[in-house]
Amino acid sequence: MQTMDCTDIKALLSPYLDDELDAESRHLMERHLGTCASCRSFVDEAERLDGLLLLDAEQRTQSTSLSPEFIGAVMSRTVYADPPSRLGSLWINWAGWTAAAAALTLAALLWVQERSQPLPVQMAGIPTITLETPEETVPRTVRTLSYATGAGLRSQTYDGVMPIEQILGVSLRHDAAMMAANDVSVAAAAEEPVVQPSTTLIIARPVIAREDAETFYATSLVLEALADADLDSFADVERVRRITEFDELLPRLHQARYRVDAADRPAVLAAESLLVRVVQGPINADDVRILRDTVAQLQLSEEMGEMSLRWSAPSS
Amino acid sequence: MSHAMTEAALRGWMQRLGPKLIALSAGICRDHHRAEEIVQEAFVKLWRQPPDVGEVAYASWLRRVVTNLSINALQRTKRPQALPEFSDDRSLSHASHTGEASDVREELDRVSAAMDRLDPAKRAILMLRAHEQLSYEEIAAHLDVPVGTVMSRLNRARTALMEEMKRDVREDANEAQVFEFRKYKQA
Repeated sequence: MQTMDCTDIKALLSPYLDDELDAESRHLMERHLGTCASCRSFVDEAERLDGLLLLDAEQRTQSTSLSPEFIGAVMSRTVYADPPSRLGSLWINWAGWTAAAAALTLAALLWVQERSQPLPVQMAGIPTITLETPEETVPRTVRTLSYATGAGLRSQTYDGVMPIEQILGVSLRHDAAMMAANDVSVAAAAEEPVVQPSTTLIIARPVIAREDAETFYATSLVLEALADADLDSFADVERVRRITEFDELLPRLHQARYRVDAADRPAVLAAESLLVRVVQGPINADDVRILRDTVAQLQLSEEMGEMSLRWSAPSS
Repeated sequence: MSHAMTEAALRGWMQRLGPKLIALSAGICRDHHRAEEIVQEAFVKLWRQPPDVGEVAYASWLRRVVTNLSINALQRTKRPQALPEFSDDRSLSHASHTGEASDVREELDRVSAAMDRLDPAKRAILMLRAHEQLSYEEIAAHLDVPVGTVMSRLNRARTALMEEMKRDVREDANEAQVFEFRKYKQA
């Protein structure tokens, strides 16, 4: 009958511990371990070390989390890598009042404009449509907006209405990725311009997901809390920051921004701008006052509440 | 040509696999900051040129890329393998633990210090087994070597780690003796 000696045990240590031994070798090994105290203690020690390595691995994974900088760094080299490439990282690293205030002003401005000049076509539920419109009815391009906010390429291509030259001028690779993500197709996004420059291309928005309505509702509550924030303490702003982070409102708003109609977009952008400021900090007493007053003046909370109702029933 | 991956998908992969990959890479290169860079690089590769293996295999593809980059990063720069802050930062962060938990913590710190002293290839194979819980066949596919080689390399890595642990104990004992001796001299 075959037997094993101490050298065999050392050679087969790993497959034994990892359960990769065949039944016969395992049996022989266990027989030897039953009689040899030195090998038994060697294997026990290795087993204990394995347990420690596993525990170490679990603890390392649990204590590792993705920082916003990590995601930002990857995004700026991938999704936002095409020109203007810096915008992606700008969005992620966006801090301070200068940028927030500029975007907010722009958002408010556009908001007023959009509301006074509703889009000529109702787009809900229409996957793709091209139609003739005189040049002057083409709304101002979204290019300005996306540059100012650092939102990157997507809002250039995925806007309600824009001139065909712009669509064709945008990297088709991004179009395809974005459109696939949003279940949108464009008749004219071909290599050859099949539509005359005077034609306006309409990319219809997909049916808005119910989550967007929920996002707007959650945002309206958070903004309401911000509008009522106590000026003498930071507790309310801190609460807003925690809820915003816990509910992941910023990424949700960021996603929703590309799905809503152009008319609602500035409101989403304004909410994002304010909440980015709250999340990024640091906030002093003046900041609390400015945040509070801005939310109140723009009636953002009310607007978000209204949008949540509207988007939860898109057909009405 | 259309791009195969969407932003949402990329974000999804990062959220799902990022922390585990960073932990794997940090386990091999012993440098958390470097590990983050390596994992970023892997995701950039995934975006630019998604492997032709279908989404189900992305996880193992990413793991392979991260493993190779982590080993190569050390070999390329020839920097000291053991970065003191990697083993030390955890002992500091858990300094307040007491009793049984601190015993385990001490043990873990010793394992970590012993891992610091191993060469990257040995660390990598131990990480793939202990951390990723891969089978021998999977490790073989990862490292592009036969299963028999995995078995012997793993054996060598385990034995080396045990040796390092013993060395640690011996050094501790020596230090304790020196300390006792000094106390004796002072008395």
